[in-house]
Amino acid sequence: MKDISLWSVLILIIIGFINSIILGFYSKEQRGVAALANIRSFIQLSILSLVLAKFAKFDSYLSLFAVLILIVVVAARTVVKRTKGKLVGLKGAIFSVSISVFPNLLLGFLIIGQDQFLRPLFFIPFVGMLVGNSLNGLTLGLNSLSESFSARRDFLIQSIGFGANHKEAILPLMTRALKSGLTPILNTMLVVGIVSIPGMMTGQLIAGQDTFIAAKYQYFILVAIQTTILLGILVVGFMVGHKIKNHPEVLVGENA
Amino acid sequence: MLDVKRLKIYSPKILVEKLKVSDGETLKIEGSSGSGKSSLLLALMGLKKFSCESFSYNGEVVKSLHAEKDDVAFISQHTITADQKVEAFIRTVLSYKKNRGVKFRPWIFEEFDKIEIMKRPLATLSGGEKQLVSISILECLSPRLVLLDEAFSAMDRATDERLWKLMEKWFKERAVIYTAHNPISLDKIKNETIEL
Repeated sequence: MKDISLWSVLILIIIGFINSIILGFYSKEQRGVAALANIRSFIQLSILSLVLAKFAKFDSYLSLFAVLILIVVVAARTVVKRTKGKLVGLKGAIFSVSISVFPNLLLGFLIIGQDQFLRPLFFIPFVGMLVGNSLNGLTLGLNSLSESFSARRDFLIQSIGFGANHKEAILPLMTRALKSGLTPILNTMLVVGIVSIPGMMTGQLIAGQDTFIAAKYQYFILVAIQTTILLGILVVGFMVGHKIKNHPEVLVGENA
Repeated sequence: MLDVKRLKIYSPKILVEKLKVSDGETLKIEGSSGSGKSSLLLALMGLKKFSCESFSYNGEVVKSLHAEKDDVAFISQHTITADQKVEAFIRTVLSYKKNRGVKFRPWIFEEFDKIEIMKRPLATLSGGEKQLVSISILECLSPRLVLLDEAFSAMDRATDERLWKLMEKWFKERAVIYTAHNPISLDKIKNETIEL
């Protein structure tokens, strides 16, 4: 594939800065963010390319495991930072992201095969793409759960007063959280191939891969993202339900 | 039925030396706003931290009451909130494992000429109507021990009296612990009062 020259990259950076200046006419706050995003994205991607180039030379599963842990921890931190309230702590988020990612790794291992799946230049982008794309859905779902937990304490207390167990009490909150979290990926899946050609497939097509193989890989990543979001929200819901079961006083706090 | 000794809550500070209620008895918890009436009921339901010398229900030592497994129901002072229609909310309550097999009869709504309430979203109901829904659900659940936290507070006097006429026998057959700021019909059968 033809290389993009550094002069061309410089032009792209300038275009990015022009965009941020135009944005600045409407929002000074966003101008700074846009400028930072513009330069950071190039620096981060360049560093990633160097890291991936280094990892490509390693033949150790331990290094892949280390990258996996790093991605999971950073993702968990992002989930905690972006989720309102204190429903999920860092430990809980790490547990949730780990549990939700693991089955997809197993699936990838089984479907794609050890040789290709555990190749650093496949494994690292795959995990990054999976976790990165799942973050939005996870955050949306967990925010909904957290907000419902605060706003609907009275409903939870009354449900328990009418005989609901912890799972039954939390069910309506889970329904909302799953709807919020999964709607974006379900919408994407509904229009994929018609309105949009997503990243992985585009990349493979540009690299000259067979179109149907590219479609199957893309389908795999969509199902994996859906599974990650679903499991992530379910795990946190399970933890919240467990908390209510063992410490029902969390529903009331000190405000009774 | 329920026998609790030296129950202490720390926030707000409450000490109840003795709280005892048996079948057919009614116990009123009285006190000014913020005195901890609701906290006491929440503590009995295990929804508020407390300590006590002894806590027994039906002769068995337990940590607190559990509506999920005990023959108990609790109506919170905060009127029910859900994004559902009344009939859907009732269906949800009856779908709980403990309540399976319970049939809901809307006879209280019929008596009040409010059968259309079943089709209305909970959010559009007045406070008094929501409390009427809660009492109707309570009636069909038919628990032996009932904890009511300001469960009639949003009803007007006429509604309270009319409801009392319909449910006097029902309340007399049960053990009831309740809180109320204003005089209500249930006061007619109270056996004991705890002042906070």
